[in-house]
Amino acid sequence: MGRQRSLRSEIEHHLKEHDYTLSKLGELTGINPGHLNELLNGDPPRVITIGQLDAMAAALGQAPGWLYELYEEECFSEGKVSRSRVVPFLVRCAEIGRHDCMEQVVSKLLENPKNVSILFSVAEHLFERGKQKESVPFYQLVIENEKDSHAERFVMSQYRLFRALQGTDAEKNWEAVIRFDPYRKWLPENHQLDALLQLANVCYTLRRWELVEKYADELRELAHVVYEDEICKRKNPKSGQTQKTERPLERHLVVYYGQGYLLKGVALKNQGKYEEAKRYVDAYADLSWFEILDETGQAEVQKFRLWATANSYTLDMLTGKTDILPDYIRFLADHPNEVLPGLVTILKSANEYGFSVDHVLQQFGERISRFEGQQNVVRLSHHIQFRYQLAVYLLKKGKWKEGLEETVRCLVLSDTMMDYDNFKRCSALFWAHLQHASDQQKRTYQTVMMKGAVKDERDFAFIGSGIGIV
Amino acid sequence: MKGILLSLALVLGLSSGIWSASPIAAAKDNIIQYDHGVGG
Repeated sequence: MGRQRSLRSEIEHHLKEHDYTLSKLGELTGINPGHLNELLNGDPPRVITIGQLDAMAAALGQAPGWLYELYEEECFSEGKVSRSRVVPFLVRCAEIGRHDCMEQVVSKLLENPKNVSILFSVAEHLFERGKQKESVPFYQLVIENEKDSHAERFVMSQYRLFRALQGTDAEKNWEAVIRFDPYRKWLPENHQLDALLQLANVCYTLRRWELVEKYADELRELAHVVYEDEICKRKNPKSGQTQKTERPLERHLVVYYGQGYLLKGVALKNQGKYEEAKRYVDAYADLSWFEILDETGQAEVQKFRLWATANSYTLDMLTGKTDILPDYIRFLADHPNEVLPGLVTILKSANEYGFSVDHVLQQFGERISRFEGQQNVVRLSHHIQFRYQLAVYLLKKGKWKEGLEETVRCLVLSDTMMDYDNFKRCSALFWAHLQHASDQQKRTYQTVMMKGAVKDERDFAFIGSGIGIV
Repeated sequence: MKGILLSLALVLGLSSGIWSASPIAAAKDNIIQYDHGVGG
């Protein structure tokens, strides 16, 4: 017969095992011994906080999460839930992966629909601590259990989920866009600005130009409204006092305003509407007229000035004004962060108009070697474009070995990002130059194509010793 | 059966001449991105 386990009996048991007095435990945990006595022996005992339990676990040489399975009794008393106990408890459970305890408490909480607000608090605590992945199940629970789909916490949960699920998998990113899109206009203005910027950025990597345009238009419009409000409030400070509490923006307002123009221009350019695109580039080239510019704002204005110069070069190169190439190269040398998108433009133009850029590739060789390992979805997307253009450039020059190596490299990157359009392009490029591929390159290609395609690769045994031999 | 179909697809792909057209010309230009400041 085992003894009946309870939180306090277990602590007492371990104290005896270690031969610790309350004074000793107090010394080790930093909790006053008198207070410890009330926690363990009071009648009724005082509630133990999760922080105190963690401190006791550390003092008694136990792992984080010790006795969490018994902590539920501290969270519920006479059928009532203690919000101040249960929120930190669930946050800790999520942080250290005690899913068993989480499930137990969450299912008890959901017996009362009002407790959805507690789950939202847990999710927000986790999100704010940078534990986005851990916050996901809590936001999902809010979405599933909140009856009012216009309630702020429901809409915020949709938004947080959209942000938390953004990664380098194009398909998952697209699913997240579709799921979140209907709720964007219900968000408070500050979050709506960020949401529109994120939506436009994700759609950029997905090459959904009409959607990039739509979100960029909304972004400009909303940034303009917020700007006008801000100016109005500054001119009449008293009129703003009755308005809702100020909510901080993630970025300076000029960022949303400028990005609304930049993304619109980019979307137009990528649809071949160069003249229209130029007008939008001109609009963000000089934002110094913005009235509410602090030091951060001024630095952002400077960035837009720089991007406008760079994107003007891009438009020039695209329309055949290749004589600006030396200026563009000098610009890239002065602004190393712009080298990746810049080289895509230069290679694309070289491939189209047939001039050599070997000297450019050599000049930026060291920088190019650092393109690998991009984690940011936009940079990764640019990297894929760079590899593809480089492959085409080398193949056009008859450098079969290097060209096919770049092709396979681009294929692998596209596969990682689940970018099927690019995957197909690279595959077509490889097949078109198959006669120049070495056996090793054919095997690598075959491995990439087979990856994840079948459960049992023996199904493909009939292919024999490799592609091109069928 | 699956094996035969795939084998056929590979053979047809190789012999139909669809790959003999310039792959570079066939590449879809509208899926190329090279823009400064996106995500910044």
